[in-house]
Amino acid sequence: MALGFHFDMTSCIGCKTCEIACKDKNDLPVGVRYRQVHYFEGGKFPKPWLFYLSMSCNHCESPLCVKNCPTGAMSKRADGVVVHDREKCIGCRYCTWSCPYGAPQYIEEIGKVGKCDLCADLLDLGQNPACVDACVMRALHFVELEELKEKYGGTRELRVLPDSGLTNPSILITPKPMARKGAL
Amino acid sequence: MGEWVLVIFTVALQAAVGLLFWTAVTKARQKEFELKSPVVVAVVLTAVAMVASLGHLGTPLRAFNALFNFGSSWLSREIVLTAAFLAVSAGAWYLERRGADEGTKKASYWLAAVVGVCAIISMAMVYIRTVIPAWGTWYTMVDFFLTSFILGGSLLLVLARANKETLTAVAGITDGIMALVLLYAALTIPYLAGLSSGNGAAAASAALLAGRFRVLLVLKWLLVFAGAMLGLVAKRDQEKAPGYLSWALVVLAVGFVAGRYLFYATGVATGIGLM
Repeated sequence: MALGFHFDMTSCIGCKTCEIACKDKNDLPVGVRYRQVHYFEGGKFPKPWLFYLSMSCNHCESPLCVKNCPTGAMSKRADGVVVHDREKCIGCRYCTWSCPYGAPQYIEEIGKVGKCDLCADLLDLGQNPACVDACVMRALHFVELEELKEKYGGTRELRVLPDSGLTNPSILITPKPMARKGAL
Repeated sequence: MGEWVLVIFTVALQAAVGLLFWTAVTKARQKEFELKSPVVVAVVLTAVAMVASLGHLGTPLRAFNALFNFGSSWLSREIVLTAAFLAVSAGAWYLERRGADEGTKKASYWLAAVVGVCAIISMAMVYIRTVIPAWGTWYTMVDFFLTSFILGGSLLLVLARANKETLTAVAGITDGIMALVLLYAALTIPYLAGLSSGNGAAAASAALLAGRFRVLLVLKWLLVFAGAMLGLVAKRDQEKAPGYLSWALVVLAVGFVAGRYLFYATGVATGIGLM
């Protein structure tokens, strides 16, 4: 059973509440964001377009960060969550060269990396990740991946995302038409 | 660009491996080649490289943790093999000092060269297995090995320059260096062409090389060619050869350091909005 996020792009208004909730929950310093809202715009009158993409670690099925980490600080739990053991981390930043989503973030103040762990402590208490509960538009969901597919459909391929075959991300996105692969 | 310690680590280690490789080859071909300084320089360079690499870590006091994932991480393998190269080189140095028999000494040099080659393979794989397309190609392997053989050869020439006999024994390396530089240049052309016709991140790296860093790119290649030429000049002018060979090493070292700086400065990762 793999856990993952569903992001409904058609509902997102780019308010970044998810980013702030994540920063607050993880007590992150300035410049470090485990979840980031990306902003894409283009076109011209009468057909301008705009979409937001809220992304954090996608807890990939084939995570390159786990394979490449020299210390074993990055690991994948049985439930699919990619977790990071700060005690083992030596701050070599190799995981930041290994993730096509920019999920692992180097935290200068502590000389180590940190990343989204799907709020594993909240999950263990049967609660949702902080970003999911904070989203005012209910654009973020979090469930078991098979259930996600049945409930929301969606895709892992967008024209602004790296090829999903690279790491098999555990994410589903309901895209706006202009975000679809091959839309332009 | 805060990767200066990695520039020092990679270039110094590659030079040390190349130096011992050429020394092993020369010792195999020339029975009277008794030069002891190469193994000393190789050990010192490797030690400097390893200390420098600690500067890259955010938490260097836990550096030993990097050995834990040897089974799947090329970075783990790189560190283990670099440490092994240092140990084997130090062993070769010990055998030289103790005056062991020729066969044992030769074997120790070959062992060091083989472990060193494995260290460079794993070092290149560290970069090839990233999401940075400018690094993730066969060219990284070529770049690292040619840096090793060219710089290592130049170092051996400098160490052998004081004595006419030893210099004669290694003089052929100057031709080898020029041949390797020409090969390096020939292989760089398809690499750059591939980069510029690649995806977003690859094209971004190509744009950096052709734009902001173009002067440094040109300078690197001018220095590398100039260094190889100085080696050839030294071969023709025996009297002034020691001076030319020293300058060749300086020019080549600056050229390769500039090249490695470019390697890190122009590596753009595949990411969201930049595939």
